[in-house]
Amino acid sequence: MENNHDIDKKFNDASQSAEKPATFPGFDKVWVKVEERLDKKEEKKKVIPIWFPYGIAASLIIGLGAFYFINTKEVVDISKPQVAQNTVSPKVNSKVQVIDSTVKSNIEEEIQSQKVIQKPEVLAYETIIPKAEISPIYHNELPSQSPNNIKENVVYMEPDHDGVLDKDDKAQSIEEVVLVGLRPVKKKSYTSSATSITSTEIVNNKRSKKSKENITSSLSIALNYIKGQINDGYISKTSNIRSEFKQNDNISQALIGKITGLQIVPNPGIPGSSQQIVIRGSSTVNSGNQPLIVIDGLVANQNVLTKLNPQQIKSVDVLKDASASALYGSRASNGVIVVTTKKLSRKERKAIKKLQKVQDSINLSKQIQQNNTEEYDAFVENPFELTKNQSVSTFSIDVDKAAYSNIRRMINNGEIVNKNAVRIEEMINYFKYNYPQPKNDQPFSINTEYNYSPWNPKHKLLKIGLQGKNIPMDKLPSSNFVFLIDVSGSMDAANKLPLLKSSFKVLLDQLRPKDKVGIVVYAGSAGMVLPPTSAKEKNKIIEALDQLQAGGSTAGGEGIELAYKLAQENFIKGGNNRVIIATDGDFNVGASSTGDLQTLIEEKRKSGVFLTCLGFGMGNFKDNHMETLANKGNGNYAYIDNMQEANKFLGKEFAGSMYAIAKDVKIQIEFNPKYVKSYRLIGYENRKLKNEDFTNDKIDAGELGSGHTVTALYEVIPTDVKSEFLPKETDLKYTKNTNDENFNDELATVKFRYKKPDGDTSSEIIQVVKNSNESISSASDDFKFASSVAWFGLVLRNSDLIKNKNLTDIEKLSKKGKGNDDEGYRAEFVRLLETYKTIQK
Amino acid sequence: MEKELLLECQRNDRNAQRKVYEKMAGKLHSVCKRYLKNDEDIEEVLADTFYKIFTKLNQLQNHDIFEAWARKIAVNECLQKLRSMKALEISLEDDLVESTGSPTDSISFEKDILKLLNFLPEGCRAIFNLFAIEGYPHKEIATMLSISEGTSKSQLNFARKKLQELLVNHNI
Repeated sequence: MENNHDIDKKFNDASQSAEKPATFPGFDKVWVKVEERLDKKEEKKKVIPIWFPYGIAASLIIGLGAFYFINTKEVVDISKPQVAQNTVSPKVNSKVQVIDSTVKSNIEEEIQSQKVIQKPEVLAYETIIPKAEISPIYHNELPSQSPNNIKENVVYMEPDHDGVLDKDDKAQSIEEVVLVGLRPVKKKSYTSSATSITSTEIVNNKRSKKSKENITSSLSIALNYIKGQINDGYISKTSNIRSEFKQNDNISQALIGKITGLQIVPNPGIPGSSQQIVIRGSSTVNSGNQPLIVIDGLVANQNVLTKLNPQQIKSVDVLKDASASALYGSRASNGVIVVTTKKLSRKERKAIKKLQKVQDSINLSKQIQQNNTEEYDAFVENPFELTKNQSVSTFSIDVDKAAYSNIRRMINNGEIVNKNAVRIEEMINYFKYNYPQPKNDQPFSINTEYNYSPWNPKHKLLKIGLQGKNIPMDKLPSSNFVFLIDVSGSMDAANKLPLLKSSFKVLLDQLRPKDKVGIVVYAGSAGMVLPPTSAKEKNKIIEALDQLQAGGSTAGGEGIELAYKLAQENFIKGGNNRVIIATDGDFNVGASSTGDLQTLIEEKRKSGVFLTCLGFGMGNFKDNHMETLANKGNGNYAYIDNMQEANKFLGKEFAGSMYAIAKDVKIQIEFNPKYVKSYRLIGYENRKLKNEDFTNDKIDAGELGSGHTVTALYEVIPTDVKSEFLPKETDLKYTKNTNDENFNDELATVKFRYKKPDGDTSSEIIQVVKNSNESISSASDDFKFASSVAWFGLVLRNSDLIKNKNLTDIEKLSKKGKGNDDEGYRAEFVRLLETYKTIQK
Repeated sequence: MEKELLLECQRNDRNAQRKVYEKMAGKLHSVCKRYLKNDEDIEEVLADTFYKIFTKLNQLQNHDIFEAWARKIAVNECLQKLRSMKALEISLEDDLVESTGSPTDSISFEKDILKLLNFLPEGCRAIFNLFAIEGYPHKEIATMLSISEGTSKSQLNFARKKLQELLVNHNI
């Protein structure tokens, strides 16, 4: 104890002596702050009496003018925003009756409200906007983004009180005038629409004869105005509480047990929040399930809500289901809590605004962090190889296109493109090129072109293009598809599960009666939703799809096991057996590392079942997982960022995506040192094979689908050129430097190996590429376009191996190579370039 | 503090207020500094404190105790700030937060020792301050922070133990 006393005393003494210095670094700064605030306080006292009478006068004039305006107008112009505030309409009632019996007071109010409707004094009112360009600001106009623009300059006119006005500071910028008719009615907030649209209420006796119908219609007009589209069934469940909050209650505590379905999680483990409010039944238990909170019309943060003095709260409404998102958009997918406060003092309002600002900045930084959870495997560009040392280069084909749609999504969203998301071969292969169909029995035709490189006129490019055989739809073998769908919590976003469902419907449209579809889903565990069903019963399949909902963790490994099991049980010999996995790639239960997944999928590959990976979503996208699965699992991989992409991959290119005509397609190329001093393969970094693997049939390689094209580009440094990119030569003592005179005109020899889809042994095709010295102007459109895509990819990767990174040059080249662009994908690429240019600025 | 000066302050005389500020700012600053780590927070709280002092001065009946009253306002403002930062959720499991300030680079012994406070978690630091320096009894501390008396005591012991360790570690 003595010791303790010592410490106390020590610190006490220390603090005594520390208090002596009269000044400190921020001394003057603090005084300025204090002075400012004291000045402000005085100003307020003085200013109020000055503007007050003017404000009253101005509002009166505007109010009367507006009143006149309404009277002269017979028909309500529905193109003008009308704010409807009424009690429950009959249409709503049937649904509202679902209200939980626990909220007794609520129901009582509902009954009262019905009575109100039956009286002739129907509620309706008009909103007038003096300045046409300023529309009234509603809750869903993102006030959180620009809180300064929100002015609550609502003027209430209550004739009963001889036009006594109550309003905000800036009377001159009135944006909304609400007229109160002859009979003010106490404000009630029964329905979602009522509270959210306005905080005022008017009875207009003039319109009293018009029936309930009128109310319903004006209500929906208001809703439509907010939503921008017509949408029925917006109101489902509303709970309203207006209990007397106890003095020391925190608002969120006060809500405990008062509203069914509202859960207060005491310690959710999320930094920065001590409590979490969750509306049950709308979303998952895990991530991002906080409801939207609206305080007096402004979107607020939950922390702001908890700071609110409960005694200041007039009412709290909780909206769930469709009503919430109908009014507040997708942000409200977890429900909405609408809080109406009693009149807040200016100081309190300011405090809320300030708090909200702080919270917004915190949220912003959190969001930025979240955006960084996308995962891409890093890879290094292929270097230039000296033909003298290594004349042979081997790689596996890659028909995937995911990288391009993913990059397109990033650029269109104005995001920074992750270098490792740029796989140039997938960008080039996104586009179709005009190669001739194969002759004879070969599954593909081979097309080569050799011309000058656009980014370095000293270098040349060798383009190798494969064109897969087009198999007509009716000749395609029957299919056994298993949809493996990720329904974990991470899929719960508009651009994930809903897009996924629509995408699968596109695919279903392509199926024939002889095809079968089974559905396996996985979240915390995996389960079969639909046993293999003939595509004849499309409705049954669509129904099963529509019932899917997202929630829980992601046991991807288990899902893959089950899907392959189902596919194997229903294996069609000589048919097309394929698992189609749709996910954001975020596996977090069981096999979850890329290594684990690779082992799993390599095992599954042996079953003869093919794989298609469809990537969805962003922010948490795990590209590395998807790429691994597709590469190692006899598969292909597409990133579906929108319906257009779904249509392309699953609709138009359905056959190519879903029917392999050759598997394990490998390309080996041997360059002639006579013409080629050095070369490098552009892209295909993760598809490179060892030279000895070319003839090893056990080594997996890429699949070629019906009608697919695959294009690869080699950048070549010819022998007679001096280039700064040339690797250093080491003099070789034993290798002959002279060339065999026999192959004088040959640039390279390309060998292809492939297996039939159900075969185990490979066939080989050999093609010789002649050296040529054509000028760049004779290059084909395809050559120009493919090289411009590669160029853009190199710029996105910030490659060390090119010098000219001028985006305008790329744009020019791609425009020249646009050629016949029926489907507009090349034009889209040009647009993407333009967008990227503006981002770069 | 002269009564005249305080009366002038009450009448909102800016010069008088400035004089009072000059006299008190240093002291109240060091009070805030014992509770808060961040300079910005300290300045904000200090401004709040003075604003309150000048606006509520008319409620102070006995001007003799002005200094103690001002100090109490400062302490309360600090606690409020900590509360708003959610820093007062005291838990014994809290590891000691490493502060950025290094206790060896300062000028005087007295300052050194106070810097050690930065190594304590906010909650237990506040309790130590309230008990050892401000001299509040546990009972009052418990009500001020809405914790139990037992928590207050155990936190105080925890603070003392840590400070002892720190003193030894830094050879003070």
